[in-house]
Amino acid sequence: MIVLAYVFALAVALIGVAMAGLATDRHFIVIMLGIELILLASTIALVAFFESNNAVNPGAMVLLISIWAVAAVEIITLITFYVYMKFRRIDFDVSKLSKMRW
Amino acid sequence: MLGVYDIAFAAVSVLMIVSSLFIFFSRRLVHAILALTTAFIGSALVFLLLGQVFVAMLQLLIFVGGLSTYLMVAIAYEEKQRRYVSYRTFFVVAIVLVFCLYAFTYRVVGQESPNGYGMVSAFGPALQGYYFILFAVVVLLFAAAVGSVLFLKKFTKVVT
Repeated sequence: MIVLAYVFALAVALIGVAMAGLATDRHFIVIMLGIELILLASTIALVAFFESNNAVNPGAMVLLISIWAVAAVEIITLITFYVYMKFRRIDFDVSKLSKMRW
Repeated sequence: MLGVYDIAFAAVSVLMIVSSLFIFFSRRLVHAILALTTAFIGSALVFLLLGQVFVAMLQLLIFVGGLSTYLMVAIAYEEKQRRYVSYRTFFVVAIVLVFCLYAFTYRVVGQESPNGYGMVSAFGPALQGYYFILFAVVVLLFAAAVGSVLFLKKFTKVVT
């Protein structure tokens, strides 16, 4: 049986890598993929947390499906943004986006 | 003493971390998406090692089979001048994967006891409780996704 602390460590490492990527990368699509990676790490941590409780926890499954839904919607909106920016010839460098800059 | 599960988990962990690093270090978007798909497969393997077979299957079917393919098609459609893999290789890999998936389903899921579904057995009562609010949020998010697709359809019609 796997030690659950290692699973949590894996989730934390993934979140760390993704956060580092979010902080350093400027490509819009890659930033969205990094957010996807954070959601993936959160599902791993959630399932490990569920495994640590022997009691049946109905909230874990619901929360897991909610995270999956958020991740799925993020991918759909990512594709929408990608096609929109490609059609409009908008640069994918987020530092050059000026619409939301104050 | 390290067991087989520990070694397998260590290998999957290394695979996931390397692929997650490759998302940010790859020069092309398609490679980054492939790395993310590898991370999805790795997470499904972690769920398998934790004994959550149903969650692992859902992860494979939804994320690897559905969303990653969707993302890959969308990105590769825009970069259609580049071809990364030959069709012959693609079909060989697809056939092998389908065969492995069937074998896995028959060996693992088919022989599981009725009481061994873990989180699934807790899912029904949860639907009746106040967790319904979470599902309302999820439905709202999907409505946003459908709206974005409709917006894109309208936008591409105007452009073309």
